Amino acid sequence: MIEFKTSMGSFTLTLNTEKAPKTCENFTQYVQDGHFDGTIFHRVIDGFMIQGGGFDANMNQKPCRDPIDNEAANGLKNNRYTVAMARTNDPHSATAQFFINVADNDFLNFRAPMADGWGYAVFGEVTAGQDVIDAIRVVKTGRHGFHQDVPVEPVVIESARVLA
Amino acid sequence: MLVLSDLHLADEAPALTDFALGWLTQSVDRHVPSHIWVLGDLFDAWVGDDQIGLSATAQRVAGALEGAHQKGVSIGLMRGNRDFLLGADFAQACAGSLLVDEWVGLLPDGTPTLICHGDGLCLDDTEYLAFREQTRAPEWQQAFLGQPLEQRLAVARQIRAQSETAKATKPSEIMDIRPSAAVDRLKAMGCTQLIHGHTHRPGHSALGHDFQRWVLPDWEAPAPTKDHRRGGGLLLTQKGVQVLGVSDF
Repeated sequence: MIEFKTSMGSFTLTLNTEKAPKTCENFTQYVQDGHFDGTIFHRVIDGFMIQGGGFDANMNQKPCRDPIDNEAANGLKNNRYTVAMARTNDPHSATAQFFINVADNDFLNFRAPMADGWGYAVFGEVTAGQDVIDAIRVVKTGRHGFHQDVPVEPVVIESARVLA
Repeated sequence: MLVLSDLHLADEAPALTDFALGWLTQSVDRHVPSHIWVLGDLFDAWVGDDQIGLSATAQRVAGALEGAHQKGVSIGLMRGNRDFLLGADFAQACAGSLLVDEWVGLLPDGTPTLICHGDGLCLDDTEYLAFREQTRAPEWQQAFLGQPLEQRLAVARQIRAQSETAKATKPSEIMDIRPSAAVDRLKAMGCTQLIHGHTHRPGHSALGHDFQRWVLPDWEAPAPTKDHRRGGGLLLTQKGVQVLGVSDF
């Protein structure tokens, strides 16, 4: 379990190490390295998801380790309050950025192990502080350079810690 | 001026991007064009300029065009039928600007010419033209672009799958421009020459008695099983139109 303390409250993620072992190991390593401390939720879209863990409040990207394999074919669905890894169009490009679904996003689920069908790997869910997620999803957003849907007031991840 | 089109670049095919950008950089160094104009379908699909954040290919293209711009080349991007949502943000990333859908003017050799992607001239493909009308409407585009990026990518996948099925059943007479429509348009615009892409049927031919047209090639990544390479462009100079091929690249 990982506890996130944010500028808008705390929430806890319970990771599914059985269904997404590599993703959980990778994510936990970033937590232990303090990577998420000082990052923000830089992309917030109500009715879709909130995404963070990659940029600091000045929109500088934090350095990451090598990308990980996509474990989306694990049967877990991108339903509301689940957490999944963000990535580029390359199916196996996830590093540190993650997102929390705020709706049942079927179109993000794995369909087939081909370029277009890989989907996004769900590796856990929010088991405490769902109200904080719901508070974050409705913040006012705007554009910041090439980025859209950026919260006007930064939503900062102050710390992320593994709970014993 | 160097013009090319129908590259259909995508993240799934990095070898094609290597090939096309390699040729482009070499052509810029060799011919020193004043302009590079991409006449549509630079990308196989484009769902909004925020796609540049997710697409290594888009970033490479922007980098290559920006590099050419630094060497003094002006960059112009025309929208095609696949990348009709290409916008000002992406053009800016390329240090270029968006071109109108139909450019009319005098080429360096003085020939009054109409330049377009070509999909608007396929008047016999009524199914496509209906789709085109729907998706060019500002309200449709605004609604579409309002959806999250991942959702737009999912929709694009669906549309492409449907289009591939439909293409397999379309007679090839439909899948070209309507020559009479082209002649009418050239007459209306006071031009004698047409340059376009889209049909993937490269060549130079007469249109009626007084008009001519040049069709740009589409691109395909070179493969060891294929002798003939697909790709290239046209160089428009004071001496006229010169075909630039890819066979010696």
